[in-house]
Amino acid sequence: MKLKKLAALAGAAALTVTALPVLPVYAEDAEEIVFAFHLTKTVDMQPIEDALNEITIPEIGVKVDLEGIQMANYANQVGMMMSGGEQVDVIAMLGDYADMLSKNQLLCLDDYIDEYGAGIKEVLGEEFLKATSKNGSLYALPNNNGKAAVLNIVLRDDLIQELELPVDQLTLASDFDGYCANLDLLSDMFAKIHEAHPEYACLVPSAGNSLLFDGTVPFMDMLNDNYGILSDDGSTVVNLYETEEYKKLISYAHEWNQAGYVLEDATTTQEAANTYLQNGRAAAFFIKGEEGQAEQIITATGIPVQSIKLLQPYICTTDVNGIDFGISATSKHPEAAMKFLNLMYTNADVVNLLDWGIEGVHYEVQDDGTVDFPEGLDANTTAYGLNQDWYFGNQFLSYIWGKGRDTTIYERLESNNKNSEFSPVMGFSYDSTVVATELAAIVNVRNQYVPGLECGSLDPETDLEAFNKALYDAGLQTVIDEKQAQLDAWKEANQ
Amino acid sequence: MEKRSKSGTLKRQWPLYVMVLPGLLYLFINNYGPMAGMFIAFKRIDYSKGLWASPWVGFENFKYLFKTGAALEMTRNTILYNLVFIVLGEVTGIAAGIMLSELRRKWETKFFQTVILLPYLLSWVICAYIGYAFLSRETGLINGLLNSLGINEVDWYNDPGKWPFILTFVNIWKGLGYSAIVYMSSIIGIDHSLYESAMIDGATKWKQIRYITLPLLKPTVIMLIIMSIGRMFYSDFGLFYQIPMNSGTLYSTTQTIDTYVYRALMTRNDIAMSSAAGFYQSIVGFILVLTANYIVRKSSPENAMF
Repeated sequence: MKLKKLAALAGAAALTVTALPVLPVYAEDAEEIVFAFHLTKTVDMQPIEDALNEITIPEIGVKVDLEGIQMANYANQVGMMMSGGEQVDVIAMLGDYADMLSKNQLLCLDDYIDEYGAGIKEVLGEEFLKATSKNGSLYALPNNNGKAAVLNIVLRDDLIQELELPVDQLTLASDFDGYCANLDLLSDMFAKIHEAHPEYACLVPSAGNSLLFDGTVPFMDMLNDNYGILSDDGSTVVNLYETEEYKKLISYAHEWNQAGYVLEDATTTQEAANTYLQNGRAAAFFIKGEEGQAEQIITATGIPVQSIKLLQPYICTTDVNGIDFGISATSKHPEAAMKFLNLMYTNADVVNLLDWGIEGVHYEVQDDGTVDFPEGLDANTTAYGLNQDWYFGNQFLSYIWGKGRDTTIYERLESNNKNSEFSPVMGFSYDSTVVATELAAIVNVRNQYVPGLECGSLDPETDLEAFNKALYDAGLQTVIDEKQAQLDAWKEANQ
Repeated sequence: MEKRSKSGTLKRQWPLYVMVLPGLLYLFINNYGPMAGMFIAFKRIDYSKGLWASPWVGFENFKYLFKTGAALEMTRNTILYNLVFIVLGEVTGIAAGIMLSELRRKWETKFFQTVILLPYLLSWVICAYIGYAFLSRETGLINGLLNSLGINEVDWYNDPGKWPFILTFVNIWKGLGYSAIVYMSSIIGIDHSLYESAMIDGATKWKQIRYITLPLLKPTVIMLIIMSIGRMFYSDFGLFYQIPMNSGTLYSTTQTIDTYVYRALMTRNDIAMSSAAGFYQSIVGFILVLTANYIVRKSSPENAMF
């Protein structure tokens, strides 16, 4: 088993790696730092690294060693690098900010941000930096991209035309009742699709075997992990699975499932919604998305769809700090690391290099201002093509990929970021270390019930009660109490 | 037998020692080296201090293994499945081994051996999708068959009662080829003149198996059983995680210690807690091996491993 082997290896690594001398290679007296980040595919980073250092060495006197790590191994490998005494300075986070903070993996940035990272502060603004601060100190930097993603319904365009589905009646709901009105409209549309085309599953799960995007109830702050969420009064922590709203949502799922609208294998399938769309099995699915969601799906599947937002944006801490960059607590070069981070948020050449590779080799600027593959290259033959423009530093500095694509998209994303409603406890991040024992049991209970409830195969009347009982048996009350205590302390200090 | 000096033995047998060397090295690097990391199970890791300087927390990291009703369920599943697998695995393995060794034509032996070994060589993920092709509600072969016979479909992946049988079947199907070969090789090693004299005395095939093959297989069987008992607190992660397609409704009959730990810690990335699980399983396994061997030594000392 991978986890345990790695854990054991970490021990062995600690014993052997510390004995190896780390030989720093200085190029023209530049300070050398190591930047660990996630990779979605295996690529040769050497040419990118060389080109990057041609910018960073003259500009800030820092030589960056790019350490791309496959996404699945990332957290383990970074942990081993840090515990094994290997050099690592800048580290990326993908949904594990709170976790890394609780393990003291992150260096406090207060001493460095003003002097070496002033540009970053300007780009991100106070509100976003709250999401990665604790007790008034900054520990990481959220990346700058569209944060105002909301629940969308993706529908096949040919079905919308053929059955004259009233998609223009769907609204950007600003409260839960408005959202339910949208769902009622969708129920009618599914009924039409099911009658005319029984060969389609009207709904397939889009993430984690859940129809309604992983149980997220609109306009509620899930406070990191769904176990104990913020109630309407903005200060009490309650059990999500006992709220009226949650029951209502899974009742929709149950109704749709009983009516035969839902993919039969919904609770067990491990295929992506896009695959079902591409294979002509799915008519629709829910997805959390921002501007340009439909284009992304069309590019990936070749099936014309419409992606319609169902909610007004509501930004919580975890929406902002999902992807972050920080400095390792073990770093010996924090100033140099901050200088490099500053470039990643303010220098378009650095961002484009990391996002798209080398101009003329991996991409070519098109007449309309977008970028695309040079002659003779495509997604399969390119030597780079990470497609991680959503990831590195400041996305709004990068080129837009795809000739002919809408070039106003970044402006819309930025204005959505600014005009969204924020959670009343924006910036609160919760440390689950003390309840790790309870959470281990709770996560297993969740896996047991949530796919069935959120795909509608379990009955909200009877099974929801059993689920809640199992959650409390597993120690949910302890978790909620702990979260409440942390929230109270946070409010005391911040409001 | 003449007595040989120790240095003489070494001189004559050094190629054998050289052959053992890579295996021993592997054993030390892979199995003994990491034991030094056992202390991690008793720490709360603080990366700014390093592994060794992190604070000690006693048995805090072990608590989640025993916390809830799930603890009892997963331990029960792990042990019961292993017992069934050991018993049925041995019986079917011996039967298949005897049958293979009775085949007279060489191509027959090769053919059947290859056919029953094939599943052993497949990865669990592939096996899971073979299972899915049979059991899926959307496109499954079995539900298609039931439909055409006018029988109600079965929602296999949401029906925990059926999984003890499915998992046992899959496990035997996958492991049979390997254990059959182990037994066949022991059977081939049996002195053939024993069978010849038995035949002259008029023993039937069944009697030959009953009174020659089985008694002579006993040491191999005992050794394999003691080894499996040592792993009784472990489960085959691929079998219990992949084959049920990670379906939550099946946990009551598919959750084992390994899958519980994996699910609990997948998103936590807590090396101390995962070390604790490994520590617990290996200590219990160690005690079980010692106990099993002790019992064997009491009843038939010549068959004990140590």
